[in-house]
Amino acid sequence: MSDRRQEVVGILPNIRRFALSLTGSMADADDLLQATVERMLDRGLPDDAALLPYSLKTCRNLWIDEIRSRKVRQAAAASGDPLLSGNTTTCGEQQALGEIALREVQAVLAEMPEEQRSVLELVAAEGFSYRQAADVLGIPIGTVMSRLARGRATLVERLKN
Amino acid sequence: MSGKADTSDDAILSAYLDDELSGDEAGRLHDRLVGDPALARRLEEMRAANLAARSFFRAADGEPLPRGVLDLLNSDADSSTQERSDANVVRFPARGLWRYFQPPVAIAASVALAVGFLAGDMAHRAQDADIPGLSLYAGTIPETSELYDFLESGISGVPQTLPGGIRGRLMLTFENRDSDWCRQLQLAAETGSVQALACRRRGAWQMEAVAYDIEASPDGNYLPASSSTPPALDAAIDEQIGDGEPLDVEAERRLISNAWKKMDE
Repeated sequence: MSDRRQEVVGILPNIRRFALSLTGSMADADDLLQATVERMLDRGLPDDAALLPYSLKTCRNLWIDEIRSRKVRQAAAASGDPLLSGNTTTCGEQQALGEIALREVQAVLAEMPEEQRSVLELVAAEGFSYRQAADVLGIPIGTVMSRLARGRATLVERLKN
Repeated sequence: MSGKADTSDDAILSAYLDDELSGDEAGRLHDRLVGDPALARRLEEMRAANLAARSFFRAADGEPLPRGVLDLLNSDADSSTQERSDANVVRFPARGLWRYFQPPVAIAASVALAVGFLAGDMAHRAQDADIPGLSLYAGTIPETSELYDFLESGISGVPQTLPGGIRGRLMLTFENRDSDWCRQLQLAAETGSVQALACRRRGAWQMEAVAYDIEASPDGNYLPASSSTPPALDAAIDEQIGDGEPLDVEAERRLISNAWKKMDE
C-alpha cells in the first residue's frame, strides 16, 4: 500500500466522525465514508494537498451534491435509526462526559441542524481552527462562529432541561 | 454585575473557548468574566456543552470501521509489495520500541494492512466484530530496532528491560503451518501493555497480531497486565500453530544459536 493510502487509513476515523455530523446516522456515515474514499481513489490522491482537509471537503461535496437528497427520500419512508447503535462509549469518554448521558447528547445533536452539527464536529472534535473549518465547509469565518455558538447554546439549553 | 448572562455573549464566549479572540478581545472578556459570575457560569456551560459534543463524536470511534472501506484501500495495491525482500522498505519507522506504543491508529497508518482491521484511537481499543480486543496488521520490524533484536535472540520466560524502560518477555516459540518460526511476546510500558504474535518470514520479523491490554488503577497509575494470554490472541495462535507444539527452552536456544535454521538445514 502506498504511503498516501496509508495516510488515508490513518484519517478514516476523522472522515467518519465528520460524515456522522453531516448525515446524523452511523449507518449513513459509513456509506458516506465509503463513497468518499471511492471518490478520492477514483480521482487520484493529491500529492500536494493536505489530505485531511481535502478528504473532508470531498466528503461534504459528495454529501451535498449527490447523497443527501437520496437519503432524505429514504428516510421519509423508513423509521429513523439511532445516531449510534448500541453503547459505543469507551470508559475514557464516559468519564469525560461526567453527568451528561451520551444518549441525551445524541438526541440533541440528532435534532440540531446539520450546519451546526458539522461545525461543532470540526471545531470541537477535530480541533480545527475557525479558518480551517470555514475552508472545509466553504463558508465565511463569521458564519462558523455564529453556527458554533448556536449549536453550543442549544446543547446547553436542551441538556439543562 | 450579577444576574442572568445575556445570550448575545454566546458567540464571543464560544470564540474565547476556541482561542479565536485577539489578545485585546480576550483580555476585555477576561475582565468581564472576573466581575460577572453569571457570565462566567455561562462560559462553563458552553465549555461543558463543547466537551459533550466532542465526547459524542469521539465515541463513534468505538464502532468498527466498515470493512469495505479498508478493502478499497487495500485493493489495487501493488501485489509485488507482498513479496519484498528483506532489503526493501520496512513498515515500522526505525525508532525503537517507543514507537510501538503510539496510539494504534498512528501505528496502523504507517503499516500495510494484511487484514482490514484498525484499532480505535481510544485506549488502544481494537475493532473487530468477531474478535474483540485484537487488532491484526502486517508490519515488518526493522532490523535496526531493539524489538527485532529481542525477537531474534531473546529466550522465552526471561524478562528483559528494553530501551525506554519497556519490559519485555517472550512467552513461547513455535513453528507455524507455513514452516515459519513464530513467537508470542509481552511488552509493558507506563502506558499499558500488549501481547503480540510475531513470525519470522524470509528472515524478517513481522507482527501478525496484537492484543492491547491496558489496566489503570483508580488513582491513574499503571498496573501490570496479567500474564495470561488474551482470548483473542489465543485464537490467532491456535490458527497459526496447527497441531504443532511450542519449543522447549533447549530447542529454542539451539534454534537461536543456529540463526533460526533447523539443525538439519
